[in-house]
Amino acid sequence: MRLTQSIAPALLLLVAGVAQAASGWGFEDASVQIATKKAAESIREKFTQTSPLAKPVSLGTTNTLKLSLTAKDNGKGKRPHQAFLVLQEQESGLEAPFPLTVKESGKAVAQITQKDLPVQFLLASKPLKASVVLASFGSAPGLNSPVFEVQIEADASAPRPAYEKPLRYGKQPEIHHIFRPDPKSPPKIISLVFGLAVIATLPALLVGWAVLGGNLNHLTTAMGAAPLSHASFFGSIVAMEFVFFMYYTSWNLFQTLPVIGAVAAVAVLSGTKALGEVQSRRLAGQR
Amino acid sequence: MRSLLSLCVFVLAGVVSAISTSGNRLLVVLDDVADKEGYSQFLGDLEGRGFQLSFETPKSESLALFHLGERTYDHIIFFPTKAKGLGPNLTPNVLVDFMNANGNILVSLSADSAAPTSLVSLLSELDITLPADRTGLVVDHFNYDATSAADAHDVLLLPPPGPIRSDIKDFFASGAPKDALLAFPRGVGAALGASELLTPVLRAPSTAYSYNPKEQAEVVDDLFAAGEQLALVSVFQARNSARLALVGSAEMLQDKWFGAEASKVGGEKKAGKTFNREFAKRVSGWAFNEIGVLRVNWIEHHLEEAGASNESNPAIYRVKNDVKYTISLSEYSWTAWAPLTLPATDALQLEFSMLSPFHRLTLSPDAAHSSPSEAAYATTFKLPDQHGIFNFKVNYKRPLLSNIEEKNTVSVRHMAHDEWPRSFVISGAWPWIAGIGVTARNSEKAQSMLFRFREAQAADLGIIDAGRSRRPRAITEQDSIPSCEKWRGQVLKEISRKVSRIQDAALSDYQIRDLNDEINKLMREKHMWEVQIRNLGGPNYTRLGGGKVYDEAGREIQGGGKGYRYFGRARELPGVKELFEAAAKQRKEDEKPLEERVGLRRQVDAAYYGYAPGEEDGELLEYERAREQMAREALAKAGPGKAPPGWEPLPGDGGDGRVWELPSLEEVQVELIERRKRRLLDQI
Repeated sequence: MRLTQSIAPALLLLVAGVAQAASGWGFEDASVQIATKKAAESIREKFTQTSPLAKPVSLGTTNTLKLSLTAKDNGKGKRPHQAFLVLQEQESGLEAPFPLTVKESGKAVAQITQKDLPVQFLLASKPLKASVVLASFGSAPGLNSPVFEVQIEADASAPRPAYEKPLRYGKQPEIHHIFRPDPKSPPKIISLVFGLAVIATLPALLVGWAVLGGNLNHLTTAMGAAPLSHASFFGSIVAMEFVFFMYYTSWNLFQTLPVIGAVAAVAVLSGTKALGEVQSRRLAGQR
Repeated sequence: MRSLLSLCVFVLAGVVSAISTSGNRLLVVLDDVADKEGYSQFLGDLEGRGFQLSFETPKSESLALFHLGERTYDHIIFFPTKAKGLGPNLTPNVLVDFMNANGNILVSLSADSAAPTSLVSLLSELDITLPADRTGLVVDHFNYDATSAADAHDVLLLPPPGPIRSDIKDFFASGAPKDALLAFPRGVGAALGASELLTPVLRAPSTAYSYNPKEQAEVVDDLFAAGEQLALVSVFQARNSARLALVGSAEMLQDKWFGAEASKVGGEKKAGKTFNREFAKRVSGWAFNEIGVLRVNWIEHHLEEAGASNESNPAIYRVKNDVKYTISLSEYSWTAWAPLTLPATDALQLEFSMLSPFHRLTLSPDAAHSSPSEAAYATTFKLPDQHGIFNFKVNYKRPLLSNIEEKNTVSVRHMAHDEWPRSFVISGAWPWIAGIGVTARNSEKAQSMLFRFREAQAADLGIIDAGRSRRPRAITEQDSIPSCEKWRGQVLKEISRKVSRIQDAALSDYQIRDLNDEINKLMREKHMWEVQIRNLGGPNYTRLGGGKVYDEAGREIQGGGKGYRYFGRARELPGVKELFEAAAKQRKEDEKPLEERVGLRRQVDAAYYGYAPGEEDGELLEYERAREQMAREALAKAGPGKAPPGWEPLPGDGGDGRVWELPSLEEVQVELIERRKRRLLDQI
């Protein structure tokens, strides 16, 4: 046992180097065939343990990949316990083993069609790596060598098989709520111009009245006849406007209503008197 | 919040003395209690961590996992047994119940004995598949222990397993020496399903495979699984955070592999000690809730706005409020609660959701609220501009960590009337505000002299805008036919609009009843307009239809004419439907009277029985006798074969001896076939 242990590193070097076939498991007469329905179109390519195929073989939907080789232990044909053709998807590293059918003499074959492959393989973008694993019990070191690559040809007319990733707990993409846009106003300058234009109509109106001969002659008579009621009626109207202004700016309805009540009472009481006075003048024919 | 914190501290103080977060009553199921000697170090370690071990054999009658509906043990370890089943006390049902009651299970298998059916069923319930015939042996001709299994290659030597994903904490290999090796002697590999609750801890190397040593000693014809598909140690965590660990090789827990010398085949290094003891501790510690257990200490959310009240966890917010959410989490690690730290690639996420999330945000560590035993995570965000009932939801589910699903419900109200920007802030409103200041309102305009003048003028001329003004209620006072016609047309328009609306499938029963009432009211109004038009000397619309309504088959519809009628979907209203069905039934009965005995009798009278009028008095008989006599005389005069003058010859009287020719059966058949042929040809 001690001996084998000390020899092991040396052996390994040997294995890694040149004479792979000399000790441990190996194979000979290896070939891969892509069989089509028409026998004439079948492609057969040979490879050896040390020289894998350079170009990937392509496997169509109707084709069958046939691998045949002779397993050898120390150069003698023998049946290993483990004789797998392992296909590996390069991106995810997913592997699928396919046991070879091995005879006592070491002759082994395997047949693979697209139906035997997992869905992920059919969707792979890069060619699949194929390697042969030959190993058995005992001290003979096993063999695990890459032999060729398989390009999966998808059937253009058929839909690609669907692969749904299984649910896995983990971080989920962030979501940020998209708010509705705020209401927009036109440029301030436009609002300002039109606002001023509207306000300008008031002086225009006053000027118009002055030009067209609005008269204030009755003001003195009115004030003379009923000074208190006229003043308080006009005052209550102004006060009402002020209350509305306060309601607009800061007061709530419950603050506003009592004040409105008070102002309205003044307006009604003084209004009857003041307007009565106006009526008396109108009936007297004064304009 | 302060009180919450102190409560946490109190709870924490209570927990520190306990060893596992979910109790320490541990049941060990062995074939023979004497077998426990082999596992003395492993079991000793468990006892040292504070577990109370009870040993039972599956056959023991005193063994019961539940007493009065409560669990009698917190955790179970199954060591391999020779028996096929585990008896009535450990059926898969009982074990599932045990897990449903938050009990944890550690199952260990061995290639030497078939797995008990009870455990196989339990595992298949969890989507874990064992090899066929409950036996399998994992071998690897490339990674075996050259010291103990130089020939059989069934002692696998593997590096301690790192996390399966980068965003998962490393529970099983962290801190292991660089060249540490795990021995997996004579074990069973399992194939895991796609369930998100399963996690492989230790996978077989890519060259390993599982075979049945009894049947496949020579050739592996039917491969169960190979390479990384073989899970040697795997764990399952149920939705209630109950845990199950499956160790494929019970032998790896035995004393002889704890710190045993092992040397990997082909390895350049000398024999090293195995990592088994530490690994066994970690797997059992995980299974029995000593590591990877999370706890929510407290959750707090509040308004994060200047000048707003700092109330904790209010029940109501307003749309577009800025809100801060903080959650405090701890992770149990062997003896004490520690702050939860996340791997760099992982994130703790908060969802603000109503049915589906509006926000999903990453919570970041909040050092101000963290302590040596807890970590606070917080985020500030603006609530969505959608009012309704929302949830703050933290759904932190990760492999190997116990599940956290926290939901706090809050209302989000819309803007109150005084929370909108004032009109003078909105620059677009300036001209309107100015307008209010300098102009009078529209209602005052309506009172103006000019408007009233125009109105009177229009009324004098009889030009009334029917589209705009209201339809007069006093119909009989209208005295112009054109305006009545206009009003009737308006009513008709409204009726047709409402009749098409009542077909709408989205209306509720109440809306349909209301609509139907309105239509009936309009129908009455229409009738009144028609009467008024007729009275004024206009066309008589009311005569048309005659007050009866007929369906497509020409039958009168009950309740379809005058009086209250049902339109569109109103006919399908409960109550109304029965009315129509009853009417339809009545109609059907009226239509087929002849089939009934009573109806038949009604058609039968004296004449039917031969008592024809005029027969009794002899008048008819006399006439018949006279005609008979005449015919006989005529026949006698003309002789046979010839019709007397004034008489029509009957067929066969032609004298050529030909009488009625009846077609034979064959001829009828031929004719029928011919006809059918023709019909078929026509069709073609």
